[in-house]
Amino acid sequence: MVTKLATSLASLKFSLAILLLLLGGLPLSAQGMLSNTVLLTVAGLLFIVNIGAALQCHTTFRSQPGLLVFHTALVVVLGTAVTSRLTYFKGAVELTQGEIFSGYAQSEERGPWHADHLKNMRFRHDGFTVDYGPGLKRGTTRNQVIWQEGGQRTQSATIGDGTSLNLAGYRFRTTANKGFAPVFLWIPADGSQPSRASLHLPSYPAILEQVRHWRIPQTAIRIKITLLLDEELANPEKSWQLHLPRRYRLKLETGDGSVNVLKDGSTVRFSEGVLVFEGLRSWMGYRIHYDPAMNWLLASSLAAIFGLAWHYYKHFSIHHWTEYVSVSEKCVE
Amino acid sequence: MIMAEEGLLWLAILGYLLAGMVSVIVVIFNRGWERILLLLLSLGLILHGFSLGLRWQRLGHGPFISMFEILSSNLWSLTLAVTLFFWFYPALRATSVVLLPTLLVLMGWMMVSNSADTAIPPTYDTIWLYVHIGFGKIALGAILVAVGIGGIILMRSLGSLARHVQRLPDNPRLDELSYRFAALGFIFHSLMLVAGAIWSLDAWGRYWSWDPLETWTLHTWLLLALYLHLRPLFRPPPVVGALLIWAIFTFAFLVFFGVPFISRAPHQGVV
Ligand code: HEM
Repeated sequence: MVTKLATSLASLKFSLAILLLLLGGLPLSAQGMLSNTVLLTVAGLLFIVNIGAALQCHTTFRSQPGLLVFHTALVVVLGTAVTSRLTYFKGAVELTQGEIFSGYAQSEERGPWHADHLKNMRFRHDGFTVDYGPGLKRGTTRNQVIWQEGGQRTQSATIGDGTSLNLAGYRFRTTANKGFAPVFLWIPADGSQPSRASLHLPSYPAILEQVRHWRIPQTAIRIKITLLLDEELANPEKSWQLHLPRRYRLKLETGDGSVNVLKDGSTVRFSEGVLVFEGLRSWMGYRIHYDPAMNWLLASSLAAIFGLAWHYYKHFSIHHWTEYVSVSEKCVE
Repeated sequence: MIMAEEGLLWLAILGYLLAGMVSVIVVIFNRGWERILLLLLSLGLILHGFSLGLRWQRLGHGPFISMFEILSSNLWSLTLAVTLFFWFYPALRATSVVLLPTLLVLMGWMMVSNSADTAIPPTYDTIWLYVHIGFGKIALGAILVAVGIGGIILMRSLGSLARHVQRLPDNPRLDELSYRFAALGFIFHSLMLVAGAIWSLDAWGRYWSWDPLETWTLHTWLLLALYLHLRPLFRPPPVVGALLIWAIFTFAFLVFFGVPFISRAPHQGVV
């Protein structure tokens, strides 16, 4: 009974069935009709059982070590892929220049078993430059970040494009999403605690019109903010570098039609309080990735390919490739 | 410079077209013009190679951004694979009657696609890009050769065409050879996936994101795995084996060139 079950589990027909399940399920999951994590976890586990049983039952693997290496490595590949699906984390966050990452992503997606260490991660965004070529083609991004290693030693690095910041397995990388952020201090008239806010204007230079609507927190005051650049930054005709502008003003329009043009330190008085424009900073959008299975996946994939190449090398050296082209004696009808 | 690029490309296309005609003459009219075929293909490759090189030098990046560039560089690499195959397997040059029309489809497609200049995104500045693309080209080249050999088996099953390819090795041997090239293709396809994942991690911070090209390429890989398993399992007759490899190639061809065609860029998120 047990042997019969093992033989069925080890059967290549079972593999074909799982393969068909996967081939059929992937388009469904691409359409969002089926959870990718569920499909891959189920198919991966079934494959692990199937190959595991096959490694026990099929004598082919004993006589063909390359195949044995390949299929064993494949079990590890599948195991790590399943682990990856269950424990991964993917998120995004925007940080103003000078801001310290709070440990929370603004949008996120995670495997059900992800042990959340992100909340302990801290680093500071310290400004960036981005090179642009003619036609607003984005070139190199250089973003300064600062963090503390082991809770004490301060470290700094320049990240961007292929280089990410790696904190305990969480990789933070810059995106094309970045721009300018006016910083305001709001001093309520009732004497309560002042609060600071930075407003992320639309991604620059993707959107050249730098306008945002904002309601001052805890008030009914709605304002429209427009950044007026008094120096040329983005130029579609030539190469230029994106950095914080030196000459700029901020146009602030309120619902009642009044318009104020602000410089660093300018204030606007409302009946509920005073708004101070402290200055302009940059903001950077980061993507966050965490995948503990990644290195295992790479190592096992390479081991699998090695096993496969070994198998075919041995298998195909029995008869030389050219043996198959000597013209046959008999004609084929 | 652009004139030279285009001139060379047109001459190469002429060479490929003539090679296509010669291949029909070789097989259907049974003329021993195989050397001319090889010469035309080699000439086409050299001219096409120079055209690609000039464009590369002018734009400062390789031919892998736009559809035109992808088709052009693959036309070159697949023609190279076919030419090398003809070189090492003179007895199988009749496969040209199947292989060259496939290349001509690619060529026609290339000629109607937009050849405007392209710029390279910063994420393409890595060695893994070349490794990834290189493995992919070898994989597709090996599978194309398998398809050419399978094509002879299929021609034999079509009564009227059979007599033109009778003198070639028998079906079981062709089947074994076709399978070997498919297996080679499978190894390089696997390497392409791994190199692509490393590049993707480098470039976009994740090694796999289930974008349409990644998903469909994985399907191609799974189909090849299916094909390789069906052999020991059901020992399919050569005609079925040939049909399978044809089906897989058609699928891979559509994925390789079709998916980037319908999406904005070869991979999502490259810009
Ligand atoms: C996607 C996953 C898989 C891939 C890519 C794969 C690939 C391969 C390849 C390339 C071969 C060599 C065939 C040849 O010599 O041409 C092979 C043979 C074999 N595989 Fe798999 N395999 C996979 C999954 C499995 C599973 C799940 C099983 C479980 C039963 C399995 C069992 C076998 C056996 C028993 C052989 C030897 C067949 C023989 O020559 O008699 N494989 N596999």
